[in-house]
Amino acid sequence: MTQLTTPTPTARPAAAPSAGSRAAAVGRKLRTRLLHIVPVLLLVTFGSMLLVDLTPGDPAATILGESATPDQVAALRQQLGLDRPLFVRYGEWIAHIAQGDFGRSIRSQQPVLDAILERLPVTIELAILAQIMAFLVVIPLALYTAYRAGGRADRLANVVTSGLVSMPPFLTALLLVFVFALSLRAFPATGWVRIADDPLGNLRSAFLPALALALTELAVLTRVLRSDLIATLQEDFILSAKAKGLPTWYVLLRHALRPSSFSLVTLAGLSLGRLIGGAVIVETLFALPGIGQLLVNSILAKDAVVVQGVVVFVAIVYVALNVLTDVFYTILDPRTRVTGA
Amino acid sequence: MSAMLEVTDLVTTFRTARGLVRAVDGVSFELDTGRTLAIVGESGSGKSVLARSLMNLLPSSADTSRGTAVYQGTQLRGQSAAALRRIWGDEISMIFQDPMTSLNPVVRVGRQITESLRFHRGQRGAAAQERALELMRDVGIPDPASRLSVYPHQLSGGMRQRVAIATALACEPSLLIADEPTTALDVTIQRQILDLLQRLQVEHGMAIILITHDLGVAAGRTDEVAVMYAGRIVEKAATPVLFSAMRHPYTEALLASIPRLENAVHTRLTTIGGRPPDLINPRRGCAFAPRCRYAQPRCLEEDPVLETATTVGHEVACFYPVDTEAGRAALSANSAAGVSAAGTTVRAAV
Ligand SMILES: Nc1ncnc2c1ncn2[C@@H]1O[C@H](COP(=O)(O)OP(=O)(O)O)[C@@H](O)[C@H]1O
Ligand SMILES: [Mg+2]
Repeated sequence: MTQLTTPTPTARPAAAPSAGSRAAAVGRKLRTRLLHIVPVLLLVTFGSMLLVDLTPGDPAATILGESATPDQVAALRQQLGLDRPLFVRYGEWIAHIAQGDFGRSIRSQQPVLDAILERLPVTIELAILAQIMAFLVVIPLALYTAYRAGGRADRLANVVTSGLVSMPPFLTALLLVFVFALSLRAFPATGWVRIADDPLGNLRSAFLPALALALTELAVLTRVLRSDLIATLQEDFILSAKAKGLPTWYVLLRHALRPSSFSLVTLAGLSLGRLIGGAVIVETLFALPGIGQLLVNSILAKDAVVVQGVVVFVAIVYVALNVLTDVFYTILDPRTRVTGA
Repeated sequence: MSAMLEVTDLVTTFRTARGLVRAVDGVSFELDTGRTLAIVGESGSGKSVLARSLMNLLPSSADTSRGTAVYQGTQLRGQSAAALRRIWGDEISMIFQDPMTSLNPVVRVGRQITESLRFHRGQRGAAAQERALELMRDVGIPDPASRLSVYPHQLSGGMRQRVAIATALACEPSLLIADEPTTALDVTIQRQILDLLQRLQVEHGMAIILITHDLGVAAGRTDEVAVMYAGRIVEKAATPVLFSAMRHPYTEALLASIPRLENAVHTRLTTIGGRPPDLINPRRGCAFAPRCRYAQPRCLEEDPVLETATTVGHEVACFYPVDTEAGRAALSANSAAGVSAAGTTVRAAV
């Protein structure tokens, strides 16, 4: 069977690629990606188990507290299976994962998958909200500054975005909390309101953390899109679009934006993966019950089963988003569409 | 009655890090409805900048303050962007050298053809599509219906240029500026595209400015030829007059260098000795003098202006025109000396 990873643009006679061939291409891509992901997953999960195991402190002792006797600790260790060698525990874990069983938290006994799914909506909402906020700014700002490159607005945007890029996210988050939550009291500083309980309250509680995530994001994305746009605007086809008398907004949106979006899509795909993997710092700072918080808490509790569960989950999200990004390429640039091999 | 397009002393300069580039340096001509003017010159002689100056479609680094281009009574220079957009693509259209780069690779062919209809005529949807099919048939694209939805890379070079022409014709412009429309194409395809342009001109009654580096392209297809060198027109004449009695040594050299049909594509004009002049620091005297077989001391000191030559309507900027008494004397003196006044080697007979 042939694997086609890089599309080969060939001069073909007419006939647009059919939807079926596009689906086939995506299927091929997914298969290749899955083959790549298995060794990566093994490496990453084993590494994370090793790390949790190597950090000082004993989960059994932590669970039982200061007053526990060594015998009690030993008994609990045996009960949790912690007395067996690392390799054995890892092997068992893998065997279970292969059957779709993520195991249970050694602390709360809650199934790991439940713990993840319980927190997923918070993280996803945060990630999507942050991405939407970023794009709402990025596209118009990049279009404007690229069109008027070197102008006053461009130089100002350049200063602001370089400032944002070099600011660590926790600092951005703290500043936002200080200004909007503590000084203006416009938004809550911490906590999470579930969307089912109070949709408006939910948005209010998500706003600041999403904005903190979006600010860094939008600074990077604006700079990338702006420079790609400037390159595209030099192209002949932009000149010929202008020569047709098309309005500037149309030339920018219809002719310049799409061919300039490759880096943007790549970066946005990666960062969405990163965000869904848990915005650790922001979720901790704002006390949001998302994946990031779950990860931090289970590391602190030395709950290796949960840590690995989250790691596997994040890896899968990454692969999925990568495939989506690839699909998006084929939409952006028809030249990368391959018909059946 | 005045001509459709009147260009007077047009100057376009660019401010660059190296200095001021004088890309178009005082060009004047007139063009009547339905006529074809060829603008011929080596690459770098300012043809594309001239074309863009006519449309006033230049980057902001260009200084366009000198000279005028008046299209049907409308001054194009100094016109607002919005007013220019109403003219671009509707009254005056343009086609470019390389149809692969001048068509947007990510926009379907049908849309690229119909875009200008949408903004100039408010035509969209089925009506626009109908018009696109008609245009595609008109420019000789077989099976147009199936090609509406393809992307440019799915078409051959010749088909792409036909698409570009269909795009330019969508709003029935009265002036078509074709900037080396066949340079990027195979020789046989070149001929087809030129024939197509000629047919379309007759059928649509539009004027064409045909820009080319190949005098052979101008022969037989155009009413008038203007030869450009270093941002200026150095000779201008009705096409038959130019080919039978060229007066400028540069034109003579260009004609001697016409690539023959069996030659490879993209043939560069290598047969003219020397390099095109530096447009940043123009030297004193005639810009062509360093490469000219006729050059005399006067050519290094004075700048010749465009003046009527032997026939009315035939203008040339040269002190020693080809096949005139002065010219013959200059050439024989240089041949005898083996060198021109500018120090260029001159072989006895050509
Ligand atoms: N945007 C620009 N900035 C600076 N110089 C330019 C620009 N566009 C063209 N030129 C210069 O103008 C001269 C004429 O170019 P062009 O009109 O493209 O020549 P041609 O079309 O005859 O080959 C060249 O020397 C070129 O470098
Ligand atoms: Mg050119």
